[in-house]
Amino acid sequence: MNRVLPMIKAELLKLRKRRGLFWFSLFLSAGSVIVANVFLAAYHAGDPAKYGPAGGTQGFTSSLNLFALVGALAAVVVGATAGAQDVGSGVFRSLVSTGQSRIRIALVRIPGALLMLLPMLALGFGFELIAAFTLADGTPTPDAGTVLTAAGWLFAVAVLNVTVALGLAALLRARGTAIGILIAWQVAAGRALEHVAALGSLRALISSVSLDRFLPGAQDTIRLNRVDTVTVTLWAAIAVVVAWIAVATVLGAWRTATQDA
Amino acid sequence: MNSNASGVLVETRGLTKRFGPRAAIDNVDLRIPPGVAYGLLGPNGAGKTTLIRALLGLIRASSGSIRVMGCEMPREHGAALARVGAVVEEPRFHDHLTGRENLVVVSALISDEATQRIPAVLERVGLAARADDRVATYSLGMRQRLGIARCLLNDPRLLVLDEPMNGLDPAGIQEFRSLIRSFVAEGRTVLISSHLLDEIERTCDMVAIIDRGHLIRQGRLADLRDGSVAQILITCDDNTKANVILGVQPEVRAVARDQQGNLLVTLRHSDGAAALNRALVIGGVAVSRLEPVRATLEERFLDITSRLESTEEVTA
Repeated sequence: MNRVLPMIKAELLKLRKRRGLFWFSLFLSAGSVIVANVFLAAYHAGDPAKYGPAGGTQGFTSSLNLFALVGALAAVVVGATAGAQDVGSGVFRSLVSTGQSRIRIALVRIPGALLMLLPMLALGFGFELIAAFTLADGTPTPDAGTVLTAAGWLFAVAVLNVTVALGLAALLRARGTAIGILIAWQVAAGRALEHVAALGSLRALISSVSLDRFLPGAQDTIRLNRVDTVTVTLWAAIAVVVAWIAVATVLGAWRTATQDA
Repeated sequence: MNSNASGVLVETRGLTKRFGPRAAIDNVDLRIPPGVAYGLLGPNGAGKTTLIRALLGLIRASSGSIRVMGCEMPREHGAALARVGAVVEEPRFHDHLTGRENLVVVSALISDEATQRIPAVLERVGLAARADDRVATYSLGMRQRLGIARCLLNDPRLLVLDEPMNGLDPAGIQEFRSLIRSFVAEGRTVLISSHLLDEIERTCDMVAIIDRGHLIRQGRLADLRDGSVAQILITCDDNTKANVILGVQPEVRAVARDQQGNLLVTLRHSDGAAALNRALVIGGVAVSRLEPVRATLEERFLDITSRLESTEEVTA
């Protein structure tokens, strides 16, 4: 019963056909990049002395802050929808009745959600690259290493947030609750904990801190809002990100495998 | 993947499912042979849906065993359910997808053949013309039919339909009944749960009566009817005289009159009719009609459940 590829395609179909979700995610992932660059270019054109160019290396690396917010938000919404839509619609029972493995039903949601989200983020990243080179206004442009590092970081942001949202939504059997919890974590709780100096190196366990380790220019030490620092080696950061993904996936799959249908 | 050696497609032994201290189904021994429409009959809350969910591995049984087409559930659920189609409670779908896309989603879990079967099953249930409309626009009857189409994707030997007539109009019920009989004519087995006696009686060949989690009776409909209290209807020229004669016959338990003025005689044994006829004729009563009363399933159901209740009262 090796049905993995058709099942992934079916997951993608279920997500892609949700018009609201599709356009909302597309706007967050790509539309927001265009809007941000239009504003930045307009500010720069109006007062070049006060506002730097929208593009160039400086503009490119600054834009990653936007991606950290909107990319993560899009990933959370897509992941939570993928994790809870079968149960929410009542279709889960029909899927289980086919005799297909519940674990497989749970796991194929991850690539399905990523196939929905990653092309959108790639599009947004592409827009940002175009802006970085066309709106540089004579300033240095990002080199290949910077671009690749940023792409890798964005990929990690997407995978981590999709899997965590998916696992949490499957665990709670509720999309809205999972989105609420993760937005609260991303926007408030996680960010607040980053600045609790008393936590020391334990702050590396916060997903966003370890993800920042993959940012262009990041070395072992990560500056937290220019107030404090935490030391995270590359391998420790990788381990933390993998652990978040693994724990969320296992919890979501466990719930899917054991819940009454 | 076949019915087991005894020719039983579905078999449970001592099947029990508890939710906390309450047993939703209790020590159920069910046997469903192949090629029949099998009714699971009981009032709301009797445990029918819980039994179906346990059969399909949707919930774990607290104790007992389940075999579906010779495969042990839930250990061999993949093989057991490979040729089973089911609609449990009301059919649910992804409302934002079309009917066809909903079938694609389920067939993706089954096989490429199942995906290829989609146009044919949509045609079979009469939904081909609306297959590319979003399910959100479907009526209940159309959803029921789409549920059946989803069941047929894996060319099932066993269809499990939980309260399939709920919410359908009379024409829809008639259509559904014909569809179910056509499945049986193709050699499939159809398990239908319902609280509607009339529906089970019109649609099914066999029935299991379940009440408060207990399986009370199972067997062929005709056998269940025959097992009821034996009654005969007598039309004669002198009811008063006949009443006196019948009242002293050892075979007679009770004599009553129906609305047409005929005598309705309840017997202690189902083979006492000839003796009564002889007694009446010898007593000078001219008998123009003597007819066994065929109990309906409804009467039999009430008979069985009322006896169960009185037993429980005595026990208490």
